[in-house]
Amino acid sequence: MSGMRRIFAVAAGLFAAALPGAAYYHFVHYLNAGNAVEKFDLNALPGQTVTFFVSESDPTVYSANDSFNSVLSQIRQATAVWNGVASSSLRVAFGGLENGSTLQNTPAADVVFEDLPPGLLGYGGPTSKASPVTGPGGTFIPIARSAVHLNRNLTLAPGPSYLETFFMTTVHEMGHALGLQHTFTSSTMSQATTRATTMSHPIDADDIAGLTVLYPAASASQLGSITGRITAGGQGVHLASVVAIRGGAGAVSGVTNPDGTYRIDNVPPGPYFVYVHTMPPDANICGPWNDANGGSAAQQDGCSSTSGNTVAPSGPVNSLFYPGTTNFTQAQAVSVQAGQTVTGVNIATAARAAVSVYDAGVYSYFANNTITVKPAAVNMNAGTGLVVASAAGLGANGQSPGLGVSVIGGSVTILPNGIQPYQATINGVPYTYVALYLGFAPGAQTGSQHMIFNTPNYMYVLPAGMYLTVKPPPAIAAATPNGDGTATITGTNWAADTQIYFDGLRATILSLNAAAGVAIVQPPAGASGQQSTLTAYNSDGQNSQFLQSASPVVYSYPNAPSPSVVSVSPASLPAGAEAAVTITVAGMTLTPGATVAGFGTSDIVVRSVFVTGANQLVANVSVAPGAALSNPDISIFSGFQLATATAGFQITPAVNGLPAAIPVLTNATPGLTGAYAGATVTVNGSNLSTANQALLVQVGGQFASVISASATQMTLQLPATLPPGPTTLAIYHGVLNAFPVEVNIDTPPATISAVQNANGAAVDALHAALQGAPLTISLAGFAPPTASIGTGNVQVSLGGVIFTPSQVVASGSQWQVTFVPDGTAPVGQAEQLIVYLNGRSSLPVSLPMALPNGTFTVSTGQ
Amino acid sequence: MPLSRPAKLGSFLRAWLCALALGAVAAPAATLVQLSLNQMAQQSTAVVRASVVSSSASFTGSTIYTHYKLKVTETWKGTAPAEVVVPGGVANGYRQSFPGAPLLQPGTEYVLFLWTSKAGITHVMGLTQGLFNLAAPAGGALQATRVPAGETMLDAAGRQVQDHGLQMGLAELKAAVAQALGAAAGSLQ
Repeated sequence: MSGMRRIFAVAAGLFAAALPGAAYYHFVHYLNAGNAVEKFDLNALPGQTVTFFVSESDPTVYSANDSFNSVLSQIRQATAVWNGVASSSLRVAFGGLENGSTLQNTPAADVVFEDLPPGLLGYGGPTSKASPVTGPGGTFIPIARSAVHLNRNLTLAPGPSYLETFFMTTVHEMGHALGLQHTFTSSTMSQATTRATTMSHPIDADDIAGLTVLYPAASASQLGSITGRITAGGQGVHLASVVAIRGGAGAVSGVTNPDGTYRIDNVPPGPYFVYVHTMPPDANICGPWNDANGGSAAQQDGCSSTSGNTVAPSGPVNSLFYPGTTNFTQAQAVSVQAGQTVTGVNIATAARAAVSVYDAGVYSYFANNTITVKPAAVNMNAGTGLVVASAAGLGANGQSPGLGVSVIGGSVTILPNGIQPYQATINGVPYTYVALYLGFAPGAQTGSQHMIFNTPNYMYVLPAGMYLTVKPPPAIAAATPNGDGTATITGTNWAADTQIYFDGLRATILSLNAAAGVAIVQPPAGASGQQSTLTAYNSDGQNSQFLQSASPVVYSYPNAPSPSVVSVSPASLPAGAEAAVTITVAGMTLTPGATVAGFGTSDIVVRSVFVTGANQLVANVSVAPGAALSNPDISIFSGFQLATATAGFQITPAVNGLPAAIPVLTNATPGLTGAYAGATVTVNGSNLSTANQALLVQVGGQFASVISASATQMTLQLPATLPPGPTTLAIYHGVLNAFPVEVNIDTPPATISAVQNANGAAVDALHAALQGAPLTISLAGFAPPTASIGTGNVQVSLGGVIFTPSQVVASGSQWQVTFVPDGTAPVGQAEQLIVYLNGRSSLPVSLPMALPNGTFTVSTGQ
Repeated sequence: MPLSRPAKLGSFLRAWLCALALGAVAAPAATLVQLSLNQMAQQSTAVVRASVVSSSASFTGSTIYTHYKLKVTETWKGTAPAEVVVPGGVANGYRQSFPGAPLLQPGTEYVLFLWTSKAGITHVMGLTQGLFNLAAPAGGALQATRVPAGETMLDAAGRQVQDHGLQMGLAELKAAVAQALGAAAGSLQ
């Protein structure tokens, strides 16, 4: 895109709101009554899930040891990255292959490979309706379909597909497809110039914040916000980037509105320093668009700020830390609390002629300085810390006069005289770099380090400019099949949490001796004859590609029959149906947790997959009520193995009144979780019951007691003799039968066998529990005796008040959980006591809680 | 700090600049490959000097392309196309936005390095790399300016480089293209 012209005009009259609206790094439209962003309408997505489909027109040119199976594995992993954002209610799924001619009505996203012009390797973004809609969450522009376009020739960078660069490119472009634009915090949505995320850490705090703004989940209430206003010469500064940053954590940012107000949401609690900076001249931001007074659909506009419909940014301003300094030691921290907003974080800056420094990168060296890495990975234990920085505007005329460099957090210092210039010419173009000699403070912390570059008249902050480690990058020496399907991998510089990847899929580590550099792994199921490139990833951000990308260790899968789909039952479903589809395959081994079923159309969402045999799976699918009638392709993935059925499924017209049960059983008893035999559960859906018709429900072939039912929800008591595991839920309501769905019956909950006070006496009506006095709860069926359970995995609920235990220990076949009911515990009567392990509840017991005076009265009639 | 350090550092960087392995660069993701002027001239199917007459947007498959009609005044290579397309735009009540896609201004004059796909769609090389604005500073000769690309680039060997943009006189640009094509400057139309 052409550079952003510096037009010193602020459309302050365009925007007026009582509170700063979020003018984020999204696709933003300014309306008469505030901002609207482009995002998916969660109500239009079954299961609030956006599915990425891959065009069956796969790449045409591959590097050695690369394959379409590897490409698909990387795309699957990339969707899992965005699906893992817990504070976002949007789910992201991999939908397998699709035929480009399949009619689809439900919003989704496509990954397509095409002949791109030389110099362009890929691009991505949303397709949105040109007019806003208003829903319960406010006014927004719904995304109808998104696309990620990649080059057919994977011999060109960022390929081959097994490289981290390909994976990170895919993650970045998917971010655009979900509604995110570029940021300047070195997160995944930052431009590659400054991006510091890796396959070990593929998204950072700013990416999480940006997605959560669009699709907030309830857990987002645990995050905080910062608001304020940026001015220059008393006037609001438009489209400046405002960043909250602190040592040891990712930076989170927002963008100012035309009146200079800003809002940074979804900031993890803690102290932050806030700074403002002008976006670089090559920021590549689309919009924001002026859609007030209906100025949208009729105007052709694009991503450039020079577009007539785009609201131009203000001119460059000085970068400053709050409250108004370039000296970090004088910056004032703001404290962000969960669920609260810090207001009035205003910065008055001044206009300047141009952005003096931008697009910085910091590099480190390996293999006798023949290999560089960015961001710099610096091993504190290697003695000398030497990195090289480059940036537009950095080091002009030999060295930027008066350049100072500092690192936030205190772990890293620049040694005296440790800033040295270096100039080089590449292809006739001069480049100036800055060498930085580093020292490490006692107790220096590993991880990302934020850097500040100060010239006499400009400040530039580079979040996550480098990261500190305590060991060299990992390497893989060899991979040897063991004959039983496992493989022995050897290497160096591993850690206890080192991960081994086969192309884009992580192997299951059966055992790992980091000191010896030996691991026994279960490789992902491979395609016939596949040559899979191995990569070791350490949690410190380093991976074996640092040193071995030119000659990685390759694992050879044996030749095998081609996978195929043998049967699909049912092979068709009407629009609006929920059903379990049983699929049998041949020539591949289905692995629980690594098997994906795709139905080739966004009008079908796969809710869950149960592997019921080595060659059979059951997929719970949901067909959108407004689904297009079509014959999509089916694709089944297990590891790298892929079986397809062209036009293997059919969507038929909707059946009026068809019952449809969503295959999720939710415990209906307050405070309890789990759908186990004998539990009372709710099931949601549509047309579940009709007036004057008997409703019969079978679970696992046994009749369940229907406690209540409406068209959209029913409450059942599960049969007491149901075995745990997947089973069928079938509904007959006398007019139409629902398609059966597959549900999971949980194992029986733990039972509380005893509660004892500190003296070892059992707590009862005569020996009621006291506030402040420790209690030890004994549980049967809690967990295997050898399980590793920390206090963070367990919660105790007493009368609805949650406590964290002080101790969790195994005791023979039982477990003991010790906690102290503090002053917040309810008193005076018997209270319900429940213990949760990773959210799964025990059965409750009634616990007498004495009044502060020690008395407890048993109520009659209880 | 010993005075010898810069020299030692120089050897480090020369080694780096000469022998950078793609995969070892832990800089994740790039969407552009840097093309030199020579490469653009040689790999393009057409190089033209043209002004944009009009623009419109429409769907081709699932992608919206903005079509720019060109008034070609000079053809330096190949056959001048009637239009060039850029991904993204507004059509049929939908908007597609691709960060990094350029916007051509009707009435503005450009030098364009173009590439036509097998499907017959003509693109600007490298999204923005093949787009040079032509403008004359007050009283001066026409200057061809290409703004720096936002996405980090990898060069043809996969080494990460930074794009600093280009600016040169129109005549100088024309001569460079002619040299790349092995033709005399005056032979270009």
